[in-house]
Amino acid sequence: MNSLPDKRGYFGEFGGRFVPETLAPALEELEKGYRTVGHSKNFVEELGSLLTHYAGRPTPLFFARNLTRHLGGAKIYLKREDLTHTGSHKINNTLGQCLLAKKMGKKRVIAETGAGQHGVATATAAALFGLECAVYMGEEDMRRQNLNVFRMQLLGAEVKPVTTGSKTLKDAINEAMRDWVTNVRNTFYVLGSVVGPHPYPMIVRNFQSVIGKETRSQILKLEGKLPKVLIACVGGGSNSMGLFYPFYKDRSVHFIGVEAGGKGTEPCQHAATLSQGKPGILHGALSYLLQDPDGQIQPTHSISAGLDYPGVGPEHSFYKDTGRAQYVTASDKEALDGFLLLSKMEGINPALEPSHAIAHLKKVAPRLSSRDSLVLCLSGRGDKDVVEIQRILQGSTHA
Amino acid sequence: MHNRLEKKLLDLKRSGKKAFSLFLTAGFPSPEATVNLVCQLEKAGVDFFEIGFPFSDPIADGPTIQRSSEAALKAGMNWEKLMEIARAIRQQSDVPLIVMSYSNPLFCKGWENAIRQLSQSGFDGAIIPDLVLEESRPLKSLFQKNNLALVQLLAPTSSLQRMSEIGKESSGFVYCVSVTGVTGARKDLPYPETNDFLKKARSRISLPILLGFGLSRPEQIPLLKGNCDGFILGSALIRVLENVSSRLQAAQKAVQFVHPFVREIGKENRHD
Repeated sequence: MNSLPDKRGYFGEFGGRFVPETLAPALEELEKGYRTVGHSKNFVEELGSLLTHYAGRPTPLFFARNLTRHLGGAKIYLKREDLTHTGSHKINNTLGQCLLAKKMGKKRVIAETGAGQHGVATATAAALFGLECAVYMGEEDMRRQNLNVFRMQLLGAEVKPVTTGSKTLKDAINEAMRDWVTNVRNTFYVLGSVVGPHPYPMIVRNFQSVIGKETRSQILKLEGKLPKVLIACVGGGSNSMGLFYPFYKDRSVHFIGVEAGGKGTEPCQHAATLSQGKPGILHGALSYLLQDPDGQIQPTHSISAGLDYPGVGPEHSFYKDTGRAQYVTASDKEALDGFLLLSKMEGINPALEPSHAIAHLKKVAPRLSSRDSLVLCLSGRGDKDVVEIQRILQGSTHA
Repeated sequence: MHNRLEKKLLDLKRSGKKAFSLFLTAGFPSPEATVNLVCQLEKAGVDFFEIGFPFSDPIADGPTIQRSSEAALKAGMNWEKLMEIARAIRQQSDVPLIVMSYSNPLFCKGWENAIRQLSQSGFDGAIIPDLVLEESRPLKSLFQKNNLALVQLLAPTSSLQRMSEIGKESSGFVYCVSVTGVTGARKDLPYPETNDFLKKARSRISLPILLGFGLSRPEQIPLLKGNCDGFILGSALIRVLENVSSRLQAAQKAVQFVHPFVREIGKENRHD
């Protein structure tokens, strides 16, 4: 692991804290709370116990025998984050942040959500800790992920529809930040990815790095050596960073982040921030960004709500520019094929987000030796996407 | 070297007057209207102007300025047109102009390039609502070199230590944000708390302190006037401009709207 970010919250030239002054003291308070309370023996033990007995960790590292045989080449392992409580890796972070909120004396938490997984995971942790909870979600995403909207409501959270801008994740973050600016004195903002102002990218990464830590010891036990490749989807980038980070110093391990290629490479047709964007400042951090020549943020498109975001975590930008990780894209269609492939081969419905990573496997696994292994982060389960996939598949047969 | 903004503030201070500043979204309702509004409102007694460069994701702004920003962008507002607006105003007036922009549009042009262009086009200052002290410090010399005053914001949540630091780092004046929250007209403000905040700021800051966010009625002015050096009005005026049909009508309505504020702010009945 590296020692970044620095004191100002920078990973190389990326990161920082670009927020209204009203929030600056709250971020200082959060940083201090995290460094003291968040590192206390009591906190670490309580979170560890919850991750085990409530969230269901450690998650299995599953050898996908059929898929390996089908593609040929490296042995494919799936890190089964889809098997956690609430069905995605998001719970690792929300248990950590909500526990921190409670210990810091906050009564109310807010969150943004795209696919709804982070919203559900926040609503879950808030219910567990007895915190009031409001989740901002774009109207377009509420349509795409209707089941998750109802789940959040059942968990006692208020889902606030966001009708501004593109009505997706980016705008949900805008609204959550506006809520936080207004209610900063009693509200804790549970950010869902390794994005946002310092210290969020660091905090979320650290809570998610349980994925990579477990993977590292599991694969060493199973294979007796490190994997050749780690592969995960990247929207904001929390599941991928959680997997990659504990392997940072294992230079022989190649990292591949798969972004949403959408319908094509033209502007507004994809959400491939690292592949197609350039550095800029959004949601409190300097990082790669999809923007026009005047610095206006461009609309994005992806089949998966969770990847439909024009920014990316600053540490990923650092990984890209230093060459530590490689970033590629998978299109909507490829992701859909990835979904179908894993469903048929291994009896697992993946979420559409990791389906992008699955789609990229065929370009990686066959080129590696059968003596090598690779690990794919299966960041969430696909139940939430089944209705949308049905709509798309039926639409395409009628077309 | 004092620029137009600093000179204006100094003049106001010497004559014991409060400052009155207006926020306008560049290109709303049109670029020509922005130029005309500035010139007409200056004659109506407004001391200086903040020209907001619309941004796609204005996290510090409420619904009114979100709407005006979106409308301006849709109508084709861009960086070059912002420069044209400033140059057009400069042909007619020496009124101090402050650009209000989020960080990204400036970062995107390259800080140095953006700051130089703003200064050359006639701007005297900049307010960047998502650029806190920690991020603006490394840029300070660029602003100074180009004689563009970087106005820092102060919030009710700022600690006493931050207040002092912000007071030292800011140029021109310090923009005091009246409440925790986004921009937008509010019928009332928590006057005792806001006054308390202003008193704390004044005791630590030697620059003029101006109050913004949440102003909507001239009746609010006397309740706050004793503890600040001036006022900034934004969303309430934008709301007036949402319902105009022509450039001429925009100026007329705006002048009508700000007149009672000018009168109230100009009254010499301060009881500190």
